[in-house]
Amino acid sequence: MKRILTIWLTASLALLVCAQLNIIESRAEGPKVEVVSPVKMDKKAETTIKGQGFQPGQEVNLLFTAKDGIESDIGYALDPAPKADQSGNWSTTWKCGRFIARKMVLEGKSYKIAVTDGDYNPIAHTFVLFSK
Amino acid sequence: MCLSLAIIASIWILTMSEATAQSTFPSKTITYVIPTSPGGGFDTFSRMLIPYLRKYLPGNPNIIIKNAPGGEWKIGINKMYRAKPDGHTIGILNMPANALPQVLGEAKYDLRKATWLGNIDDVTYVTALSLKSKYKTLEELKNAPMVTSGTVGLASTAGLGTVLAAERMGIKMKYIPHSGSTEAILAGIRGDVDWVQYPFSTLKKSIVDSKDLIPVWVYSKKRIDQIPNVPTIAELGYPDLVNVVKMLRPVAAPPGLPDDIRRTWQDAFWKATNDPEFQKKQIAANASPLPMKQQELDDMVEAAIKLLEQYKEVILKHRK
Repeated sequence: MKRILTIWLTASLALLVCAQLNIIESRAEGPKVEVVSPVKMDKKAETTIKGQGFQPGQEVNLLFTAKDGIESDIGYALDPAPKADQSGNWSTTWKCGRFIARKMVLEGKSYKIAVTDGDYNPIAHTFVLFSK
Repeated sequence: MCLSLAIIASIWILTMSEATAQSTFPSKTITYVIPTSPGGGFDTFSRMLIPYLRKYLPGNPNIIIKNAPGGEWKIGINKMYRAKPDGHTIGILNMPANALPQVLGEAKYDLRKATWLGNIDDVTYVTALSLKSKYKTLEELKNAPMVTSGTVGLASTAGLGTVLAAERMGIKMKYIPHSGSTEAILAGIRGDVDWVQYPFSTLKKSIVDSKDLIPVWVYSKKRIDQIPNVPTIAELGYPDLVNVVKMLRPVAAPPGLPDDIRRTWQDAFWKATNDPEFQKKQIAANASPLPMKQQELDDMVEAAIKLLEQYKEVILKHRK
Protein backbone atom coordinates (compact mmCIF):
# COMPACT_ATOMS: atom_id res chain seq x y z
CA MET A 1 0.00 0.00 0.00
CA LYS A 2 2.82 2.33 0.99
CA ARG A 3 4.61 1.54 -2.28
CA ILE A 4 1.54 2.38 -4.34
CA LEU A 5 1.16 5.64 -2.50
CA THR A 6 4.82 6.53 -3.12
CA ILE A 7 4.48 5.77 -6.85
CA TRP A 8 1.27 7.78 -7.04
CA LEU A 9 2.87 10.77 -5.26
CA THR A 10 5.99 10.62 -7.46
CA ALA A 11 3.89 10.48 -10.61
CA SER A 12 1.76 13.40 -9.42
CA LEU A 13 4.84 15.44 -8.62
CA ALA A 14 6.34 14.66 -12.04
CA LEU A 15 3.11 15.71 -13.74
CA LEU A 16 3.02 18.94 -11.75
CA VAL A 17 6.63 19.78 -12.68
CA CYS A 18 5.90 19.07 -16.36
CA ALA A 19 2.81 21.27 -16.25
CA GLN A 20 4.77 24.13 -14.68
CA LEU A 21 7.52 23.78 -17.29
CA ASN A 22 4.90 23.89 -20.03
CA ILE A 23 3.39 27.04 -18.54
CA ILE A 24 6.80 28.70 -18.35
CA GLU A 25 7.57 27.60 -21.91
CA SER A 26 4.22 28.81 -23.24
CA ARG A 27 4.72 32.15 -21.47
CA ALA A 28 8.14 32.49 -23.03
CA GLU A 29 6.57 31.77 -26.41
CA GLY A 30 3.53 33.93 -25.76
CA PRO A 31 2.65 37.15 -27.58
CA LYS A 32 5.46 39.64 -27.82
CA VAL A 33 5.59 43.27 -28.89
CA GLU A 34 8.53 45.41 -29.92
CA VAL A 35 8.92 49.02 -30.97
CA VAL A 36 11.57 50.77 -33.06
CA SER A 37 13.25 52.87 -30.38
CA PRO A 38 14.62 55.43 -29.59
CA VAL A 39 12.20 57.83 -31.24
CA LYS A 40 13.45 61.29 -32.21
CA MET A 41 11.93 64.22 -30.31
CA ASP A 42 10.34 65.56 -33.49
CA LYS A 43 6.82 66.98 -33.88
CA LYS A 44 6.32 64.76 -36.93
CA ALA A 45 7.87 61.65 -35.38
CA GLU A 46 6.54 58.21 -36.10
CA THR A 47 7.70 54.72 -35.24
CA THR A 48 6.93 51.09 -36.02
CA ILE A 49 5.36 48.73 -33.50
CA LYS A 50 5.34 44.99 -34.22
CA GLY A 51 3.72 42.01 -32.56
CA GLN A 52 4.22 38.27 -32.84
CA GLY A 53 2.73 35.16 -31.30
CA PHE A 54 -0.85 36.44 -31.43
CA GLN A 55 -3.93 34.47 -32.47
CA PRO A 56 -4.38 34.62 -36.26
CA GLY A 57 -6.89 37.36 -37.05
CA GLN A 58 -6.70 38.78 -33.51
CA GLU A 59 -7.38 42.51 -33.26
CA VAL A 60 -5.56 44.32 -30.47
CA ASN A 61 -5.48 47.75 -28.85
CA LEU A 62 -2.32 49.63 -28.01
CA LEU A 63 -2.15 51.74 -24.85
CA PHE A 64 0.51 54.38 -24.33
CA THR A 65 1.34 55.72 -20.88
CA ALA A 66 2.47 59.36 -21.06
CA LYS A 67 4.47 61.23 -18.40
CA ASP A 68 1.31 61.90 -16.33
CA GLY A 69 0.85 58.14 -15.86
CA ILE A 70 -2.50 58.09 -17.69
CA GLU A 71 -2.98 55.33 -20.27
CA SER A 72 -4.49 56.24 -23.62
CA ASP A 73 -5.63 54.13 -26.55
CA ILE A 74 -3.51 55.31 -29.49
CA GLY A 75 -5.61 53.52 -32.11
CA TYR A 76 -6.53 56.78 -33.87
CA ALA A 77 -2.85 57.37 -34.69
CA LEU A 78 -2.03 53.85 -35.93
CA ASP A 79 -1.90 52.83 -39.54
CA PRO A 80 -2.95 50.13 -40.23
CA ALA A 81 -5.08 49.07 -37.26
CA PRO A 82 -3.13 46.23 -35.61
CA LYS A 83 -4.53 42.83 -36.58
CA ALA A 84 -2.57 39.59 -36.54
CA ASP A 85 -2.03 37.82 -39.87
CA GLN A 86 -2.28 34.05 -40.37
CA SER A 87 1.09 33.60 -38.68
CA GLY A 88 0.04 35.68 -35.67
CA ASN A 89 2.18 38.69 -36.60
CA TRP A 90 1.18 42.31 -37.02
CA SER A 91 2.94 45.60 -37.69
CA THR A 92 1.74 49.18 -37.53
CA THR A 93 3.09 52.73 -37.78
CA TRP A 94 2.38 55.07 -34.88
CA LYS A 95 2.35 58.81 -35.52
CA CYS A 96 3.51 59.86 -32.06
CA GLY A 97 4.54 63.46 -32.83
CA ARG A 98 1.55 64.92 -31.02
CA PHE A 99 2.79 63.59 -27.66
CA ILE A 100 6.15 65.24 -28.36
CA ALA A 101 4.71 68.54 -29.61
CA ARG A 102 2.47 68.87 -26.56
CA LYS A 103 5.34 67.98 -24.17
CA MET A 104 3.58 64.86 -22.91
CA VAL A 105 6.86 62.90 -22.98
CA LEU A 106 10.34 63.87 -21.83
CA GLU A 107 13.60 63.47 -23.67
CA GLY A 108 15.74 60.59 -22.39
CA LYS A 109 12.81 58.83 -20.73
CA SER A 110 11.14 55.51 -21.58
CA TYR A 111 7.38 55.06 -21.69
CA LYS A 112 5.22 51.94 -21.68
CA ILE A 113 3.30 50.63 -24.68
CA ALA A 114 0.86 47.87 -23.74
CA VAL A 115 -0.95 45.51 -26.09
CA THR A 116 -4.44 44.59 -24.89
CA ASP A 117 -7.53 42.78 -26.06
CA GLY A 118 -10.80 44.59 -26.87
CA ASP A 119 -11.65 44.98 -23.16
CA TYR A 120 -8.20 46.43 -22.43
CA ASN A 121 -6.94 43.30 -20.67
CA PRO A 122 -3.12 43.31 -20.99
CA ILE A 123 -1.45 40.80 -23.31
CA ALA A 124 2.11 42.10 -23.68
CA HIS A 125 4.10 45.28 -23.25
CA THR A 126 7.29 47.06 -24.21
CA PHE A 127 8.93 50.45 -23.67
CA VAL A 128 9.76 53.24 -26.05
CA LEU A 129 12.57 55.74 -25.47
CA PHE A 130 12.39 59.34 -26.71
CA SER A 131 15.71 60.97 -27.46
CA LYS A 132 17.34 63.79 -29.48
CA MET B 1 -48.95 27.45 -2.12
CA CYS B 2 -47.20 27.06 -5.48
CA LEU B 3 -48.26 30.57 -6.48
CA SER B 4 -46.90 32.04 -3.24
CA LEU B 5 -43.61 30.28 -3.74
CA ALA B 6 -43.42 31.53 -7.33
CA ILE B 7 -44.07 35.14 -6.22
CA ILE B 8 -41.45 34.92 -3.47
CA ALA B 9 -38.97 33.42 -5.93
CA SER B 10 -39.67 36.17 -8.48
CA ILE B 11 -39.14 38.90 -5.88
CA TRP B 12 -35.95 37.24 -4.75
CA ILE B 13 -34.65 36.97 -8.34
CA LEU B 14 -35.48 40.63 -9.04
CA THR B 15 -33.79 41.76 -5.83
CA MET B 16 -30.74 39.68 -6.55
CA SER B 17 -30.47 40.89 -10.16
CA GLU B 18 -30.55 44.51 -8.98
CA ALA B 19 -27.95 43.79 -6.34
CA THR B 20 -25.82 42.09 -8.99
CA ALA B 21 -26.07 45.13 -11.29
CA GLN B 22 -24.89 47.35 -8.46
CA SER B 23 -22.09 45.06 -7.47
CA THR B 24 -20.86 44.52 -11.03
CA PHE B 25 -20.05 48.18 -11.72
CA PRO B 26 -17.29 48.81 -12.33
CA SER B 27 -16.29 45.33 -13.44
CA LYS B 28 -13.69 46.17 -16.06
CA THR B 29 -11.57 49.01 -17.45
CA ILE B 30 -13.54 52.20 -18.08
CA THR B 31 -13.13 53.96 -21.43
CA TYR B 32 -13.15 57.78 -21.36
CA VAL B 33 -13.71 59.03 -24.93
CA ILE B 34 -12.19 62.37 -25.93
CA PRO B 35 -13.25 63.58 -29.41
CA THR B 36 -9.98 65.52 -29.86
CA SER B 37 -6.26 64.73 -30.12
CA PRO B 38 -3.99 64.37 -27.08
CA GLY B 39 -2.61 67.52 -25.46
CA GLY B 40 -5.47 69.94 -26.15
CA GLY B 41 -7.65 71.47 -23.43
CA PHE B 42 -10.22 68.68 -23.36
CA ASP B 43 -7.52 66.02 -23.15
CA THR B 44 -5.45 67.93 -20.59
CA PHE B 45 -8.29 68.56 -18.13
CA SER B 46 -9.60 65.00 -18.57
CA ARG B 47 -6.17 63.61 -17.75
CA MET B 48 -6.10 65.87 -14.71
CA LEU B 49 -9.53 64.60 -13.60
CA ILE B 50 -9.07 60.85 -14.10
CA PRO B 51 -7.08 60.13 -10.89
CA TYR B 52 -9.86 61.82 -8.88
CA LEU B 53 -12.62 59.88 -10.65
CA ARG B 54 -10.74 56.69 -9.81
CA LYS B 55 -10.42 57.84 -6.21
CA TYR B 56 -14.18 58.28 -5.76
CA LEU B 57 -15.49 55.36 -7.86
CA PRO B 58 -15.92 52.05 -6.02
CA GLY B 59 -12.91 49.77 -6.36
CA ASN B 60 -10.53 52.42 -7.77
CA PRO B 61 -11.08 51.16 -11.36
CA ASN B 62 -8.68 51.60 -14.24
CA ILE B 63 -9.75 54.39 -16.62
CA ILE B 64 -8.14 54.73 -20.04
CA ILE B 65 -8.48 57.58 -22.50
CA LYS B 66 -9.64 56.90 -26.02
CA ASN B 67 -8.85 59.87 -28.24
CA ALA B 68 -11.18 59.86 -31.26
CA PRO B 69 -10.49 63.07 -33.17
CA GLY B 70 -12.12 64.07 -36.46
CA GLY B 71 -15.55 64.59 -37.96
CA GLU B 72 -16.00 67.87 -36.08
CA TRP B 73 -16.36 65.94 -32.81
CA LYS B 74 -19.05 63.61 -34.19
CA ILE B 75 -16.76 60.52 -34.31
CA GLY B 76 -15.96 60.69 -30.61
CA ILE B 77 -19.47 61.61 -29.50
CA ASN B 78 -20.93 58.70 -31.48
CA LYS B 79 -18.43 56.29 -29.89
CA MET B 80 -19.68 57.33 -26.46
CA TYR B 81 -23.36 57.61 -27.41
CA ARG B 82 -23.54 54.19 -29.12
CA ALA B 83 -21.56 52.28 -26.47
CA LYS B 84 -23.24 49.72 -24.23
CA PRO B 85 -24.93 51.69 -21.40
CA ASP B 86 -23.24 49.80 -18.57
CA GLY B 87 -21.17 52.66 -17.13
CA HIS B 88 -17.91 51.48 -18.67
CA THR B 89 -17.88 54.08 -21.46
CA ILE B 90 -18.17 57.82 -20.89
CA GLY B 91 -17.13 60.82 -22.98
CA ILE B 92 -16.37 64.51 -22.70
CA LEU B 93 -18.30 67.07 -24.76
CA ASN B 94 -17.94 70.68 -25.80
CA MET B 95 -21.08 72.66 -25.03
CA PRO B 96 -22.86 74.48 -26.53
CA ALA B 97 -20.89 73.77 -29.75
CA ASN B 98 -21.70 70.03 -29.81
CA ALA B 99 -25.40 70.84 -29.93
CA LEU B 100 -24.93 72.46 -33.35
CA PRO B 101 -25.01 69.27 -35.49
CA GLN B 102 -28.19 68.25 -33.67
CA VAL B 103 -29.84 71.63 -34.29
CA LEU B 104 -28.85 71.45 -37.97
CA GLY B 105 -30.18 67.88 -38.27
CA GLU B 106 -26.71 66.47 -38.98
CA ALA B 107 -26.20 64.44 -35.80
CA LYS B 108 -26.85 60.78 -35.14
CA TYR B 109 -27.26 61.59 -31.46
CA ASP B 110 -29.76 63.39 -29.27
CA LEU B 111 -27.99 65.20 -26.44
CA ARG B 112 -31.24 65.40 -24.48
CA LYS B 113 -31.18 61.58 -24.22
CA ALA B 114 -27.53 61.22 -23.14
CA THR B 115 -26.89 60.50 -19.45
CA TRP B 116 -25.11 63.56 -18.07
CA LEU B 117 -22.68 62.85 -15.25
CA GLY B 118 -21.04 66.16 -14.39
CA ASN B 119 -19.14 69.18 -15.62
CA ILE B 120 -15.47 70.06 -15.29
CA ASP B 121 -15.21 73.80 -15.86
CA ASP B 122 -16.51 77.01 -17.40
CA VAL B 123 -14.21 78.49 -20.01
CA THR B 124 -14.08 82.27 -20.35
CA TYR B 125 -13.40 83.69 -23.80
CA VAL B 126 -11.52 86.85 -24.70
CA THR B 127 -11.52 88.86 -27.93
CA ALA B 128 -8.08 90.18 -28.86
CA LEU B 129 -6.99 92.38 -31.76
CA SER B 130 -3.79 92.30 -33.72
CA LEU B 131 -1.26 95.03 -32.90
CA LYS B 132 -1.13 95.58 -36.67
CA SER B 133 -4.90 95.95 -37.07
CA LYS B 134 -6.33 99.35 -38.05
CA TYR B 135 -9.09 98.84 -35.49
CA LYS B 136 -8.59 99.31 -31.77
CA THR B 137 -12.07 99.75 -30.28
CA LEU B 138 -15.53 98.26 -30.52
CA GLU B 139 -16.83 101.38 -32.28
CA GLU B 140 -14.09 101.16 -34.92
CA LEU B 141 -14.87 97.48 -35.42
CA LYS B 142 -18.58 98.24 -35.86
CA ASN B 143 -17.82 100.94 -38.44
CA ALA B 144 -15.23 98.91 -40.35
CA PRO B 145 -16.13 97.82 -43.91
CA MET B 146 -14.77 94.33 -43.15
CA VAL B 147 -12.99 92.80 -40.16
CA THR B 148 -11.01 89.56 -40.62
CA SER B 149 -11.05 86.83 -38.01
CA GLY B 150 -8.83 83.79 -37.56
CA THR B 151 -10.98 80.76 -36.71
CA VAL B 152 -10.90 76.99 -36.89
CA GLY B 153 -14.48 76.59 -38.05
CA LEU B 154 -17.99 76.60 -36.69
CA ALA B 155 -17.60 73.26 -34.92
CA SER B 156 -15.43 74.99 -32.31
CA THR B 157 -16.84 77.23 -29.61
CA ALA B 158 -14.29 79.88 -30.61
CA GLY B 159 -15.49 79.90 -34.22
CA LEU B 160 -19.16 79.64 -33.37
CA GLY B 161 -18.84 82.31 -30.68
CA THR B 162 -17.09 84.68 -33.09
CA VAL B 163 -19.88 84.34 -35.65
CA LEU B 164 -22.62 84.89 -33.07
CA ALA B 165 -20.87 87.81 -31.34
CA ALA B 166 -20.11 89.61 -34.62
CA GLU B 167 -23.70 89.15 -35.77
CA ARG B 168 -25.10 90.43 -32.48
CA MET B 169 -22.81 93.50 -32.43
CA GLY B 170 -23.32 94.30 -36.11
CA ILE B 171 -19.69 93.77 -37.12
CA LYS B 172 -19.12 92.78 -40.76
CA MET B 173 -16.68 89.93 -40.57
CA LYS B 174 -14.77 87.65 -42.91
CA TYR B 175 -13.70 84.32 -41.42
CA ILE B 176 -10.24 83.08 -42.36
CA PRO B 177 -10.05 79.34 -41.57
CA HIS B 178 -6.96 77.92 -39.83
CA SER B 179 -5.97 74.38 -38.95
CA GLY B 180 -5.78 75.07 -35.22
CA SER B 181 -5.93 77.75 -32.54
CA THR B 182 -2.13 78.11 -32.50
CA GLU B 183 -2.12 78.91 -36.22
CA ALA B 184 -5.03 81.34 -35.90
CA ILE B 185 -3.36 83.19 -33.01
CA LEU B 186 -0.09 83.39 -34.96
CA ALA B 187 -2.06 84.90 -37.85
CA GLY B 188 -3.28 87.56 -35.43
CA ILE B 189 0.24 88.26 -34.17
CA ARG B 190 1.54 88.53 -37.75
CA GLY B 191 -1.32 90.85 -38.68
CA ASP B 192 -2.85 88.47 -41.24
CA VAL B 193 -6.18 88.81 -39.39
CA ASP B 194 -7.62 91.59 -37.20
CA TRP B 195 -9.47 89.53 -34.60
CA VAL B 196 -8.99 86.33 -32.64
CA GLN B 197 -11.33 84.99 -29.98
CA TYR B 198 -10.19 82.17 -27.72
CA PRO B 199 -10.28 81.03 -24.09
CA PHE B 200 -8.30 83.22 -21.71
CA SER B 201 -6.05 80.25 -20.88
CA THR B 202 -5.20 79.88 -24.59
CA LEU B 203 -4.59 83.61 -25.16
CA LYS B 204 -2.87 84.37 -21.84
CA LYS B 205 0.65 84.01 -23.25
CA SER B 206 -0.08 86.45 -26.10
CA ILE B 207 -2.10 89.03 -24.17
CA VAL B 208 -0.52 88.98 -20.70
CA ASP B 209 3.02 87.64 -21.05
CA SER B 210 4.30 88.81 -24.45
CA LYS B 211 1.56 91.38 -25.20
CA ASP B 212 1.58 90.43 -28.90
CA LEU B 213 -2.21 90.92 -29.06
CA ILE B 214 -4.49 93.54 -27.50
CA PRO B 215 -7.34 92.13 -25.38
CA VAL B 216 -10.47 94.26 -25.96
CA TRP B 217 -13.19 92.50 -23.94
CA VAL B 218 -13.95 89.36 -21.99
CA TYR B 219 -17.14 87.28 -22.17
CA SER B 220 -17.91 87.08 -18.46
CA LYS B 221 -19.90 88.87 -15.81
CA LYS B 222 -16.79 90.09 -14.02
CA ARG B 223 -13.36 91.17 -15.18
CA ILE B 224 -10.41 88.79 -15.19
CA ASP B 225 -7.86 89.50 -12.43
CA GLN B 226 -4.84 89.17 -14.74
CA ILE B 227 -6.24 91.76 -17.19
CA PRO B 228 -8.14 94.15 -14.86
CA ASN B 229 -8.31 97.01 -17.39
CA VAL B 230 -10.15 94.95 -19.98
CA PRO B 231 -13.95 95.46 -19.80
CA THR B 232 -16.53 92.71 -19.86
CA ILE B 233 -18.85 92.39 -22.82
CA ALA B 234 -21.69 93.22 -20.42
CA GLU B 235 -20.05 96.55 -19.60
CA LEU B 236 -19.97 97.27 -23.33
CA GLY B 237 -23.73 96.81 -23.58
CA TYR B 238 -24.09 93.15 -24.58
CA PRO B 239 -24.78 91.20 -21.35
CA ASP B 240 -26.64 88.50 -23.32
CA LEU B 241 -23.40 87.49 -25.04
CA VAL B 242 -21.99 86.21 -21.73
CA ASN B 243 -24.27 83.19 -22.08
CA VAL B 244 -23.68 82.87 -25.83
CA VAL B 245 -19.88 82.93 -26.01
CA LYS B 246 -18.84 80.38 -23.42
CA MET B 247 -17.77 76.82 -23.22
CA LEU B 248 -18.49 74.09 -20.74
CA ARG B 249 -16.76 70.71 -20.54
CA PRO B 250 -19.47 68.27 -19.40
CA VAL B 251 -19.11 64.49 -19.38
CA ALA B 252 -21.85 62.07 -20.43
CA ALA B 253 -22.61 58.38 -20.73
CA PRO B 254 -24.84 56.70 -23.33
CA PRO B 255 -28.63 56.97 -23.06
CA GLY B 256 -30.29 54.34 -20.89
CA LEU B 257 -27.66 54.08 -18.16
CA PRO B 258 -29.27 52.16 -15.26
CA ASP B 259 -30.23 54.46 -12.37
CA ASP B 260 -27.94 52.83 -9.80
CA ILE B 261 -24.90 53.16 -12.07
CA ARG B 262 -25.88 56.74 -12.99
CA ARG B 263 -26.06 57.64 -9.29
CA THR B 264 -22.67 56.02 -8.64
CA TRP B 265 -21.12 58.00 -11.50
CA GLN B 266 -22.76 61.32 -10.60
CA ASP B 267 -21.71 60.97 -6.98
CA ALA B 268 -18.10 60.17 -7.92
CA PHE B 269 -18.04 62.97 -10.49
CA TRP B 270 -19.38 65.52 -8.03
CA LYS B 271 -16.82 64.53 -5.39
CA ALA B 272 -13.97 64.49 -7.93
CA THR B 273 -14.78 67.91 -9.40
CA ASN B 274 -15.15 69.37 -5.90
CA ASP B 275 -11.92 67.84 -4.64
CA PRO B 276 -9.83 70.81 -3.38
CA GLU B 277 -6.62 69.33 -4.78
CA PHE B 278 -8.19 68.92 -8.25
CA GLN B 279 -9.63 72.44 -8.19
CA LYS B 280 -6.24 73.83 -7.17
CA LYS B 281 -4.72 72.18 -10.24
CA GLN B 282 -7.50 73.57 -12.46
CA ILE B 283 -7.00 77.12 -11.20
CA ALA B 284 -3.23 76.83 -11.66
CA ALA B 285 -3.99 75.96 -15.31
CA ASN B 286 -6.16 79.12 -15.64
CA ALA B 287 -9.41 77.16 -15.59
CA SER B 288 -12.59 78.06 -13.69
CA PRO B 289 -13.98 74.98 -11.90
CA LEU B 290 -17.74 74.57 -12.34
CA PRO B 291 -19.09 71.30 -10.93
CA MET B 292 -22.73 70.70 -11.93
CA LYS B 293 -25.57 68.50 -10.74
CA GLN B 294 -28.27 66.66 -12.71
CA GLN B 295 -30.78 69.53 -13.00
CA GLU B 296 -28.10 72.07 -13.96
CA LEU B 297 -26.77 69.67 -16.59
CA ASP B 298 -30.22 69.09 -18.06
CA ASP B 299 -30.87 72.85 -18.09
CA MET B 300 -27.49 73.45 -19.74
CA VAL B 301 -28.28 71.03 -22.59
CA GLU B 302 -31.73 72.54 -23.12
CA ALA B 303 -30.31 76.08 -23.09
CA ALA B 304 -27.59 75.17 -25.60
CA ILE B 305 -30.10 73.67 -28.03
CA LYS B 306 -32.47 76.64 -27.70
CA LEU B 307 -29.63 79.14 -28.12
CA LEU B 308 -28.42 77.55 -31.34
CA GLU B 309 -31.95 77.15 -32.69
CA GLN B 310 -32.31 80.91 -32.18
CA TYR B 311 -29.18 81.57 -34.27
CA LYS B 312 -29.75 78.75 -36.79
CA GLU B 313 -30.28 81.02 -39.81
CA VAL B 314 -27.16 83.06 -39.02
CA ILE B 315 -25.07 79.91 -38.67
CA LEU B 316 -26.41 78.46 -41.93
CA LYS B 317 -25.59 81.71 -43.72
CA HIS B 318 -21.96 81.51 -42.59
CA ARG B 319 -21.60 77.83 -43.45
CA LYS B 320 -22.32 78.50 -47.12
